[in-house]
Amino acid sequence: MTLTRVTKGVIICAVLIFFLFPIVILVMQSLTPGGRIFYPTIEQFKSFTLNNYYEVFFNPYLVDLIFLLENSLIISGASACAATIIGSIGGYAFARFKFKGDDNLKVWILSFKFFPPIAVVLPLFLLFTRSHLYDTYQGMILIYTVFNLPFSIWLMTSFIEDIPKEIEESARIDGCGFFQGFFRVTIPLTAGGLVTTALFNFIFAWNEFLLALCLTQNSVMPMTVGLATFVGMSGINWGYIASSSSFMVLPIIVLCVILQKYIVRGLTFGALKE
Amino acid sequence: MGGLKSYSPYILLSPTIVLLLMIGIFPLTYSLYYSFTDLNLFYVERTHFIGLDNFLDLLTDKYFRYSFLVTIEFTVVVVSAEVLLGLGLALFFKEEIKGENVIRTIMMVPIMIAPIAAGYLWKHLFWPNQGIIDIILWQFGIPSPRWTANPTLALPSLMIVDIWQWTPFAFLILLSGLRALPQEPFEAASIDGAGRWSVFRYLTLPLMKKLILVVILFRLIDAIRVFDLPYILTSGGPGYETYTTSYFLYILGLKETFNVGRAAAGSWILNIIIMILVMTLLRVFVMRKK
Repeated sequence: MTLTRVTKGVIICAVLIFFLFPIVILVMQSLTPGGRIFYPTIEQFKSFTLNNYYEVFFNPYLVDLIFLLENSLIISGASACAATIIGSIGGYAFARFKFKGDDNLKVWILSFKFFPPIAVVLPLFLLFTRSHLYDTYQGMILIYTVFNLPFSIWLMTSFIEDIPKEIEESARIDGCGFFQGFFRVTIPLTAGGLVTTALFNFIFAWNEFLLALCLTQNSVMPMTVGLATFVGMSGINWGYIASSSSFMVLPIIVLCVILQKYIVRGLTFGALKE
Repeated sequence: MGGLKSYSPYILLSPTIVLLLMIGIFPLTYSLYYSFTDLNLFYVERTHFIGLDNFLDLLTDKYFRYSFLVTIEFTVVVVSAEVLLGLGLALFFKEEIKGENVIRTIMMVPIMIAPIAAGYLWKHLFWPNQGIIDIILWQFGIPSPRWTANPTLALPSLMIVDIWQWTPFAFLILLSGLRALPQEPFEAASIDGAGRWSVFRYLTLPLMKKLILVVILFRLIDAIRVFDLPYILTSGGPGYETYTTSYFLYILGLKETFNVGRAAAGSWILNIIIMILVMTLLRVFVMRKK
């Protein structure tokens, strides 16, 4: 049974329509004036505008998207860097040493990733309000760093395991100290792994909603929480939601296209080697 | 490795362990503690230790049990659909075709979009009468089935969103797995004149077993905790049709009754179930032998 060219084409089209269609609607809605539900008519095709984008950025009566963008960038960027650095040091330990209970420790670390966030949100809220971390950059960076650590460690372990031990050993024989060897040999060799880990940490923090909703207020509110503010008492403004959603996902898509060859490994905690 | 004893792995791992103990263990222990109390945010000063009452009440609470049924139904359907569709697509796209990068990029968008944004996007698509899906149906003379407001279609609507968002995940992983398979067994099979089905059944499937189980593990854990879809699309309704366990616990503890003690007990029941699932699957399939 071989598939003819036509059947193949039909299947490819069907797949693309199912996965692409919602995104097309999102982008079109963001370019359509007014907040009404998108209804594709000729007039609307003619009146495409960037007004929704302009409004969410510069309308003083709406939530200040530039400020939210800044918050999202600071929180996601700093926590991604912190988790990647701490995670690569931890990953090095798992990749290069065999020690008592290492497998159990690795599973213990991973298990933090699997708790339903709903179970920890309230205790975290109480902890944060008492320690004055509630609604601060430090608090959000800390919490996302911790949430991303298990993933960073697993991914970095698998990337460091790919580097032959011999390279580090020969560097050491040539008189390289441990730290020098780590920073001059191991880290440059795993640059791709570091970038992948940082990218995934960044995406997680950038897209996270529940923790941000419960642990921030006006002073460090990120974009995901801001998005929900367009759902007001007077109904949902689809134009604003669509433009800010498109704006949020755009940088992620660009990064992913550039780093495409690393993505699949990142999606599985490094369980799959390419 | 010689000469490195002073930098023992425990020192390298200490920042991780300290952070996880501080920020990870604390809230979990705290929620375990108040799962044995009747802590309510309205009457914090009147909190008593009530032993296992929360757990017993929940296990006999018909709404909690119903939320479990909803969650299981959701999980089973979306995980099997995503794995089967993802595997089918991966087999279909196994040979490289022209413009493949474009297809892979398109398939990546649903995974990368923020779940909250995806939720609003589909709320928009499902909007009764004016949403694009209903407009298309109307062109064919089909009246609006009132997707998320229809008791029989509400849960399937959430499933469609989840399948849309995560089938590409299964697809991308299984595709790169298929392409990494060794070629020799397949060549031998084709020399022996094996049919397509038997190649798939006796070669591809056994070779891909581990990877399929990895995909199942990741999707299972996410699906069983599903929160944002009912939060944005249905608010648990109509009736209790889309109250998933996570959403039920959110309403119980943080939204309506502020019965934090009981919600904590419920989240521990969910935790324990997830842990059993994860540990079983991890031990068997993911841990690499050293």
